[in-house]
Amino acid sequence: MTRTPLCLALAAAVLCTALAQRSAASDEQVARGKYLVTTSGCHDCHTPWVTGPKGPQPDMTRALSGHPADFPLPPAPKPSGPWIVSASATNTAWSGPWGVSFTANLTPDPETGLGKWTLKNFKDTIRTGRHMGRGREILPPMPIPMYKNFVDADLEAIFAYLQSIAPLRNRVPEPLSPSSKIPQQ
Amino acid sequence: MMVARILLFVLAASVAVASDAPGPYLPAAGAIEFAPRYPLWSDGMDKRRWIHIPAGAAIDKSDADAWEFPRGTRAWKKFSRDGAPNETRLIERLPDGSWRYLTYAWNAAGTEATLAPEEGIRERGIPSRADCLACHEGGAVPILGYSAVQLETELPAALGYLHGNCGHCHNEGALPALELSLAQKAADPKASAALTYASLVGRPSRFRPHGATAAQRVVPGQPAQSILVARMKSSDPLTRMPPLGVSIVDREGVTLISRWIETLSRQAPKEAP
Repeated sequence: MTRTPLCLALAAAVLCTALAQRSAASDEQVARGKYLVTTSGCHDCHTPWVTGPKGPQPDMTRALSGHPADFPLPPAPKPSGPWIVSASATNTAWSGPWGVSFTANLTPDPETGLGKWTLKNFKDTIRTGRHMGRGREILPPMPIPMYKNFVDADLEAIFAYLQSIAPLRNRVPEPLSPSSKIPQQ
Repeated sequence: MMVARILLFVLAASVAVASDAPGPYLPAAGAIEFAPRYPLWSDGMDKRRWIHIPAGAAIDKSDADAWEFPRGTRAWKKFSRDGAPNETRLIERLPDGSWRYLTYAWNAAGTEATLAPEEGIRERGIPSRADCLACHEGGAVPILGYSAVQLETELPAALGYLHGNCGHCHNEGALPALELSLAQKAADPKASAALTYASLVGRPSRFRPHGATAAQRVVPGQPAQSILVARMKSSDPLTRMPPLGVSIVDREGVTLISRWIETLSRQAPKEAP
């Protein structure tokens, strides 16, 4: 009879150790993810830029929340000569031969960001260059041809970090194809 | 020396067999031709399908919605327009249990097909290997047309259409973030129909057309206001659904789904149709 509580205590100790290890690995993973996000240029396009005292700089109060839905844009200028790409002042909307792309909200907001995404959805997106790995194509300037070469552990770390940051509600508009007749907002 | 000679003989014999064998894009002897009840729209192409189960093996059907195909199973789909073959797709279950996807492009004379490159042939609508996975690895089993739902289950036409054209991605397993389940279940068609209904009717749409402040997947009684129809009808490659394998709108499909939405009461009923 005395064996049962002992077994339970042992099992609990093993479980606690396992959980502690997992949590430590997770912190390490999040730190690695933050390192990759800040050295792989994610903020350059997914954090809107504002003009500050030193010129254009990322608005970290909107970190990684994508093209601001409250920033209406007139139609993009027509390409002229060899100049075929235009970018908005926020650096979050890009017009080129592919149409107009708006950078995604990477924060864990459940309705407008990646809050409900699974790790698999994220990895599939980067590996295939399709939204959630199954939908429309992800457009330039997102460097899919380069990022799809990340090893699994790096993509897992990036996703762990993105899920750990503050969720920001921002519903990014859908991309426009070159043939789109829909006026921009 | 003797051993080497025997080996050489065996090798030569097997090469001879291989060169006499039909191309891998041709259905093997004994393959069964079949037709799913709720076919995928492929720009109006004519499609023929075959499946071949290795001799002595059988499909384990104990889970009605996830048939277990034996290793060595092969399935072919041949796409033709006006009698001229364009491509043949081959799905094969390998000895290690994984699946292989190959596409073969037919020559202009329709006499022979060759393996298409990894990236597909965009101008001929031949998908890349990654595109094969996008549709075929979103459900429980990569073979989509040979299943209990597709061969043995009587469904309302609209639900069958949604299953065959959308359910391979829009199911509970592949894209849980969307909370949109259009796949039907042979084990419990009533439950899957109820889930489809609940995830469509009156539900807000993640996709919103430019300028819209709100949108619903299906507005009961109003197909013109329903994002489901708008995306089926769109010719914009970034908007249309399905997002790959289609460039021509399925007018009959749009009519079928529009009529179904028209029949839905504006007061969302509790029961599935």
